[in-house]
Amino acid sequence: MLIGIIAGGVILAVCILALYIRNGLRRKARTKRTGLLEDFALRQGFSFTGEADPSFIESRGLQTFHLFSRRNGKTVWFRNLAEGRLAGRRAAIFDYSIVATRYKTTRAPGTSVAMPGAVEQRYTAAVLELDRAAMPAFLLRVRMMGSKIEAVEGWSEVEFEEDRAFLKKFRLASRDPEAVRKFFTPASGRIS
Amino acid sequence: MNQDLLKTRTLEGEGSTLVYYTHLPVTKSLGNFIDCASQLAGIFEAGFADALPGT
Repeated sequence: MLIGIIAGGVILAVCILALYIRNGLRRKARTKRTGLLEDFALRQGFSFTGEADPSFIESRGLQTFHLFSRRNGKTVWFRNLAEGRLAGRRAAIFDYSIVATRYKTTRAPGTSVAMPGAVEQRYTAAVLELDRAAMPAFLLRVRMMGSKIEAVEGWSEVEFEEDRAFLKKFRLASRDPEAVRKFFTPASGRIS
Repeated sequence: MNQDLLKTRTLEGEGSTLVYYTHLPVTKSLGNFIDCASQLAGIFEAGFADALPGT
């Protein structure tokens, strides 16, 4: 009985110590990363905010983008926001973590399949405002292992009957496939 | 557009906004990340300069 209590206490102590060490390492890595990104922002002449406000996404009208539509209602954190101008364009760079819907890739063409449950995902993102543009909503990714586009309601992969070479290189998805087919033509220079 | 500009990253666009992102925390390659984003912005802007009269 006594040995059991002692063993339980030791296991509990080891677990607490492991958690303490893990959290300490995470804090250290986070502080280091914030320092590196802050240095970068200062060198670029950008403003910098370590703990930023997630309402930035709505304030910049980004909530309809595929990435920000996958939040499953929860943003875990929004950090290291650097804002300024990049080659004359308004720009923002930040770290972003969400609880997103889980998805399962399939062999079938098209988007992946949404699964029950959720998973935390972390991103580094750059937002750039173009001077001249009226782009339809699109998502573009190099076609490779693990590059399937996560299922989001309203989004679907775009097929090109006339340009199979493009689809061998890239995955393209949109909420408006017809507009995207007109936008990504070989003559536009946006694909090659 | 060169595939190297995207690599393991994703580009999204809508209206006049581009969002360029990756699953990986970009630290050492942040300069390359920003440079690629800027080049992509240039490609998309140039496309509009060619396509739209008066721009």
